[in-house]
Amino acid sequence: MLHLPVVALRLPPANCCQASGLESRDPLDTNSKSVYDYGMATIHGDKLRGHLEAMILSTLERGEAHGLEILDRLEQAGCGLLRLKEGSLYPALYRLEAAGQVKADWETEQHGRRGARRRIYRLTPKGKRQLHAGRVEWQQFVNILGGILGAPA
Amino acid sequence: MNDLTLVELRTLVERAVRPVRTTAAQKMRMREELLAHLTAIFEEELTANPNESLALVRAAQRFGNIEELTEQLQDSVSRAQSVGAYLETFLQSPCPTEAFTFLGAARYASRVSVFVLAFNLVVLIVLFPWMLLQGEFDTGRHLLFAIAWPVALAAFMFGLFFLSLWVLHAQSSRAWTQTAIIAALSTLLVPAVTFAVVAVIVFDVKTGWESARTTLPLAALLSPLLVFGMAWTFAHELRQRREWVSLEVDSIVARLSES
Repeated sequence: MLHLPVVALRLPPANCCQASGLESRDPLDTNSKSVYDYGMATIHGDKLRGHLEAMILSTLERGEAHGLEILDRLEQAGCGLLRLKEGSLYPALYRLEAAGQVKADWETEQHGRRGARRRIYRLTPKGKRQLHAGRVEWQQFVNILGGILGAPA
Repeated sequence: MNDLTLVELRTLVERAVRPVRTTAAQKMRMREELLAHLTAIFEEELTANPNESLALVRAAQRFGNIEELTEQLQDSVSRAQSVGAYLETFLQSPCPTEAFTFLGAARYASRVSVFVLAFNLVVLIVLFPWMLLQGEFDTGRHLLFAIAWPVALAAFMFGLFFLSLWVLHAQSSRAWTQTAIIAALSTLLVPAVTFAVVAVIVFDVKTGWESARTTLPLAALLSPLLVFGMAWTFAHELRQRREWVSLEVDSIVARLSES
């Protein structure tokens, strides 16, 4: 059975990435509120079931990256509104690696104290094909639901 | 970052990884990679607020629920890794916190050799009809050789693993005389196995000795290298595992919650 990481995504407005001051908001500062905290719907992990892998593949399309960098890219792409429980990224990466969709190598230099090393992930040709399939699938999902809900994409 | 904080970070990672049923190698990969991530986010938090305790709690919050992470890690284990984990359970590789005993080393080496023997016999049984059709077994001696080969390999593996564990023990207790004895014994490993196989196949001790003698120069060079190389691998793996399995993981979540 596939368990999905806890993901919370609040829908941003269309021009979210241009919203002034958004990037400077401290994500851990629970006292401050962004404009999205007022009346914005929250999409929980259940609704994103199955899309985390595609999202990771999408970030790796921009080039190889280690886990923290992948999270940063996801957050940037989600305009800072996508919140992953960070440990949960790795099981998804391991699944992708086992499926041959990403390949990982230990970085040559050690990072931080006591030599904890990071692994650098990159997209494989199989991963690129899976990403394309994921995009098509997502488009179909949005089109179908948009039609049903009367809010076409 | 002080040493205590580093131990807390490692403990948090170990709490998530320890219950996962996968190979020891995969667990080490998980530990190191998760620790690198947790350390990085801890340092980010520490930069934002120079209070180590608070930074630790915030890093743990960002990291996520440990029980959920364990479940997710378990689900990411591939079938091959699960099979590898069962195999490791069967072999019961040496525990980093247990002291060396000759009986323990012999037991482990026996289990490895039984596995190697069983695996090779299964391969032989599967290939036997095909080899028979190809005319591979035109004489009884060929058949004997086909059966003797897995037995020889199993005997070799027993010797290799037993001597490697013994070297490991001798080196850790800095018993150099013992190490030299093992090195000398290891040179005899390949010739002894060769002698036994040939003697069994041709029913002639003299021919067996002649065959064993020819392998002696090469074995004298390669066998100690193999034994010491294996011992080094064991030592490296045990040292890495010892750092993790000695961590007390049960109370870490409660401790951080209290903070």
